Amino acid sequence: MKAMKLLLPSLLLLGLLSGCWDTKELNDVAFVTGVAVEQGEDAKFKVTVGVANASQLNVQKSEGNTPSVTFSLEGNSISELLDKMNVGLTRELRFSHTRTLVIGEEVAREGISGFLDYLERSGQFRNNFTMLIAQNISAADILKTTFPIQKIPSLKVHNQSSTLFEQWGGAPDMKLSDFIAALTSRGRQPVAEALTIVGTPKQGQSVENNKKLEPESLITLVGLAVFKEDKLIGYLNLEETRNYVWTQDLIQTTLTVPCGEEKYIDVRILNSKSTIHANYDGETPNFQVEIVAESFLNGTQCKDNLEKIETYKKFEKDIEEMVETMILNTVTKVQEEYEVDIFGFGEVMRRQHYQRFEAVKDQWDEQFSKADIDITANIFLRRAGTSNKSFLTEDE
Amino acid sequence: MGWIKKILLSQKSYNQDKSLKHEQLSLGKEAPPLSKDLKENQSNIEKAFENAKDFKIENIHVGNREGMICYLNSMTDTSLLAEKIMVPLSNSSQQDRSITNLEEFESYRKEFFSGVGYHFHDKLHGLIDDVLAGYAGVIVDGQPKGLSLHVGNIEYRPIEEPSTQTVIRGPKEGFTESMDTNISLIRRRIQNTSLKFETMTVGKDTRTSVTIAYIDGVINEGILDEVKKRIKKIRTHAIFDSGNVEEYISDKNMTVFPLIYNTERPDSAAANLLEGKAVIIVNGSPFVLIAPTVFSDFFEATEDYYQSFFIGSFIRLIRYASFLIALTLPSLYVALTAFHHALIPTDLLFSLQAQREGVPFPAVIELLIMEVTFEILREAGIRMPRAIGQTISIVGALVIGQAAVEAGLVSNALVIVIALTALATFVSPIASFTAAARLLRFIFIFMAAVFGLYGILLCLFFMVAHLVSLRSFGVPYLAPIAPFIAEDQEDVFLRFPFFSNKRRPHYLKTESPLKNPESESPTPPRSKKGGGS
Amino acid sequence: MQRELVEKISLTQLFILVSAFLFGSAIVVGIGGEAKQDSWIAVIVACLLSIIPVWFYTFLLSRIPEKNLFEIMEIVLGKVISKVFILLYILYFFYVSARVLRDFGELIVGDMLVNTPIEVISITFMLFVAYILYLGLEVLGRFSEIYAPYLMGSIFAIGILLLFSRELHVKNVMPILPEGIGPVIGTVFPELITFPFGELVAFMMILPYASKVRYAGKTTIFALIVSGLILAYSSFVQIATLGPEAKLRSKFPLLTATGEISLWDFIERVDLIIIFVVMFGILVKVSIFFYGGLKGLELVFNRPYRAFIYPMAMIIAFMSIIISKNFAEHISEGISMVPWIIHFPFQFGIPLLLFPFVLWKAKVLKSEGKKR
Repeated sequence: MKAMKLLLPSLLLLGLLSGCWDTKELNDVAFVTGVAVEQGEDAKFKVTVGVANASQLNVQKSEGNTPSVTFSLEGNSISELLDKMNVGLTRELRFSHTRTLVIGEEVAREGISGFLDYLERSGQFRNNFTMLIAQNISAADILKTTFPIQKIPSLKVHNQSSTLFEQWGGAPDMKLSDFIAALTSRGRQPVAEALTIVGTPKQGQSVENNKKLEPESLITLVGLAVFKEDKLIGYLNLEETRNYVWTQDLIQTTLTVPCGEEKYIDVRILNSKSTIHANYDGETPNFQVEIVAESFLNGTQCKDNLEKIETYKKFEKDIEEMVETMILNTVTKVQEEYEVDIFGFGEVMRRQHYQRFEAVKDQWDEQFSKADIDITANIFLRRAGTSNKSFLTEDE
Repeated sequence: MGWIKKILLSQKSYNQDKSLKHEQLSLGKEAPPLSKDLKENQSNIEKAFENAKDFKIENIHVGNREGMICYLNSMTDTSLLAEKIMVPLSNSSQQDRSITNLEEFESYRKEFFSGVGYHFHDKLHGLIDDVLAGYAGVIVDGQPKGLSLHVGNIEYRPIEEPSTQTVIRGPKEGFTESMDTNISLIRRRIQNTSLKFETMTVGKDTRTSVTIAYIDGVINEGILDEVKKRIKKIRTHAIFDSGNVEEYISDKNMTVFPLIYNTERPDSAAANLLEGKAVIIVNGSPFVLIAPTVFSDFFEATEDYYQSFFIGSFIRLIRYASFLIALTLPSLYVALTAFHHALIPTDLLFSLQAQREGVPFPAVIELLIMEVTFEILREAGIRMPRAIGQTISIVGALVIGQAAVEAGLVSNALVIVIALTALATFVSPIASFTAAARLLRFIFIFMAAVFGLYGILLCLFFMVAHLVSLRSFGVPYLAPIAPFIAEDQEDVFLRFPFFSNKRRPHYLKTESPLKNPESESPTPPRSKKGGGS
Repeated sequence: MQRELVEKISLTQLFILVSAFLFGSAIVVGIGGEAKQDSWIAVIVACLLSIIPVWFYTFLLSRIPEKNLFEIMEIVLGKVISKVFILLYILYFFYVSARVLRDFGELIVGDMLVNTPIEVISITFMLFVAYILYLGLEVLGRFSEIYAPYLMGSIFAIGILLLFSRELHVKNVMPILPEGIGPVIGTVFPELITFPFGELVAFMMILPYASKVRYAGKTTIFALIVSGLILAYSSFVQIATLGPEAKLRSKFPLLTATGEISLWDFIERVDLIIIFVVMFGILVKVSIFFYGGLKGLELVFNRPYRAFIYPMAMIIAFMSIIISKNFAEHISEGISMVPWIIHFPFQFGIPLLLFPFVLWKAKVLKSEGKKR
């Protein structure tokens, strides 16, 4: 009996030895850092993966070879293509560290929800990767353009966009999960970031590109791609993107505000917060967007005395006016040109006037395009750097 | 060739006869009472000590009678013998004392051997036992009683700094192999009549004395009785170290966790006595046992109490953390590198992957190779002659680690993992406790290799369930944590300042729960003198 | 054979067991999703409403003190009839523990160990459950005392980490009750009241072993309220992070929500670590149902329950696999069939049926006691 008791568990343990079902050693897998999807020539999609070549990232082991390798295949389903990549690559691909998904313009115009479902469902992807639309260029080229500091192109783009978002607000904070949330929401249309390559893409596809002070080609962010449902319908430029972000969750930005003839002040905006109040004025929805922010003066080209309260007040007024018109222009442009509610005004309406929204939720975008939008900015200029009076200020 | 045959035959009979009973060695085998006849007694004793080179027997005059004195010169201090016994015996004033009955024998002792420990014996084996323990046996013709006089003063290692539980600040004395010294080391720290020592003899052949020390009125009676009962129940022929006793009196042997605390430090023993625990001192062992023991005891060093409670608490938390590291770090390495790549931050992942390029083994094998290598080095470091031992262990580890990495057999990160694990293993103040982490680690690695994180969690669950089911002398092993006792948290993960630590641990169920009710925190007076409002 | 000792669990342990039991699978699979952004309200309502049945359970137990549900049945209904009911209950308890085990298996296989057979997960987990119950209820109690701080700590940490990752959007929870209380009530009955709260019926097997039986009922209700609030908090965090739609879409919303945590590019994908939290809750839940069933077997076959542990554990592991062919079947059974056909009769029907008999028997016993 006692022997049996010992024997049984040991037999069970023996069974485990046949296991290790999920083991994959680090040197048996390859990590995909970026995926690019664009229109195929012979099939629906052409998928390109950028795979990290880890040993080239290691200071000791690096031989100066490429830190990232790409490979493309064509087919009709992303999932199958991703598993088929070993046609050209040696190791099993892992997507847990994928940071960018670049979508070609043509594919985006036709609709992308088809493969987004796979990305959400598979569980292999972290859902915090950046969604990018390649404007005017082949999406695959994004994964191939080298950069000397961040060696892997897809990681470079990822860093670039999140830093731009944090520092200046020129990129939306749109991850896969946010994109899908916007897609499913009746009161909001999704957006994605747009990017392009400056220079000649072919030149950038080599480690040699890293050896130049001025890279032959460089990936740059150009603004925002506007979607209607899952289809790309247009773009906003960088300024407009910042204005869009301002209505959402801007962290900080810098403005150049005119203070006189051909003269400007530079203002750093911090701690911005936007609140939206929704209302129905008869049949037209109207929204009051209230922006409260703190700011400090980075520099001035004007002669105003910065030791005087009046100067501060004047500057504050200038900034507020500028912000208000700027944002309003962008909103109006979206209303007139694209007629889609990328700002999520519908969601605000749903939160604040649930019944009214429910009644029109299927035609919300029409409602949005005829809505009255009112922007009020409330900017506090707190301080002006480390010096008091500018040397430009003449003594009176 | 006859002798070989003889040995083989004896071996055979040993194997065949299952009913063979273990016979006690010569000692006390036949225990005749002491007779009145000196010659008979003498021949009996000589027979008992036949072939014992260190045995000495001399014929002397005791008073006006014939007598004999016997002793083992290996166990006695000959100068003491000469001074305390031989000089009085040869004193001319005693030559005419008559010893005709027991009273006279007794008054003779009072007069000439006062101040010397003694026993009277009616049985020969009692006398022999005393002689074996370093007494001188004195027999007088015509008396059916033997007198044994204590002249034992065996050379022991002097009191030195403990070699295992070293401290930076705190007493540097350690226990020695001599029980008397050990008792005195404790007594010096607790000068109180409530401190009791009870001695028993354990081991049929070695006859080792085992002393239980406790504080009367503090220790729980039930626990004390249990300790005594278990020591009495030991049925063995030999006890050489407290480790032997520990194995016999533990609640459970099928566990890698030590259920009895051992220490080389008298201050630790004294502190534990005052908490309400029993201390078991085994003659010949510099490690005393402390019972009952709970899990958290192994994370407490005496030094925690000698320095500021902030640093004391901090270091204690570090110890708990290092126990977890020692236990799980290698298995986490396996689980992360072979299963859950997603959990590793991207940059670290690429760094690890670059290191692993070209390593021929799976992570588990890589790890096991290095773990076993490390254990070998460690063992070699201990067993080797001290002069080379330490250098070998450190240099060996470095050299082998470095060489293995350069040869591309293992990755750099792995060497860091092994090194950190090894360091963390030795943080626990008690060596016997580290064995638990060292052994369980391999099970963790195995499970991590099969199931990844799930395996590690499962192992942790099994381990905690096992820990929780353990008891030490009836006290749950994880006592103040599970079952949770809020009052006892003062001295578990953190070391609270003394003024707030007024109670003895609840789980010891002491007879007097308060230890220093009057202690106060040194604060400035709250109100002015005489100032009521 | 081992002799059974009288085991006691302290009130703290009881509190922790009840809470962990309620978190159990409820915290993983996501409850009250049908009430959309108001599911946290639904959880609170259900929690408060289920004070009534729980109070009823403790009242029933207090009539005939120091006896568990099955022993009461035996006293009240007689040996033969009670056996039928006890066997039914045993089946119920084993079935529910198999279901909970399946939830866990799906979680591990779906997210962590994709290629590992679910059978292996079930068997290894049941081995552990068997081991801890073999060591006894007391050990289970103390075991949970060790893990409870981690469980609670992690649940709160999720919210805080999400807040720091700027993923917690309170606006997702708005508007509150846009369509009135209707959808909330719709989720409370029958879903929430039976799962997880009604399942506390299993504690009718545990409560008599509390060290201070007098306070056991109050402790249970207190634990019920506290864990109801924590469940509501967790539900709130899930909605605020994911939004009601994504929460409803997700198989394991808590995991999906924690997946959003991203701090300093270092703390990422903590959802795998959450599995640990879940594992503890599941463990308590499976163990308590399993223990209830085992106690029933002990009574029916008159042998110590430890004799049944290992075989029954393996049977439950097996059951958890054959219960349903795929995940969809597993979930739809859980929503449409289980509450009505299985949960209601066992959680409310039979106890209510017992009620008059118990009252009558208690009176008889009392008057007998007086005569003596």
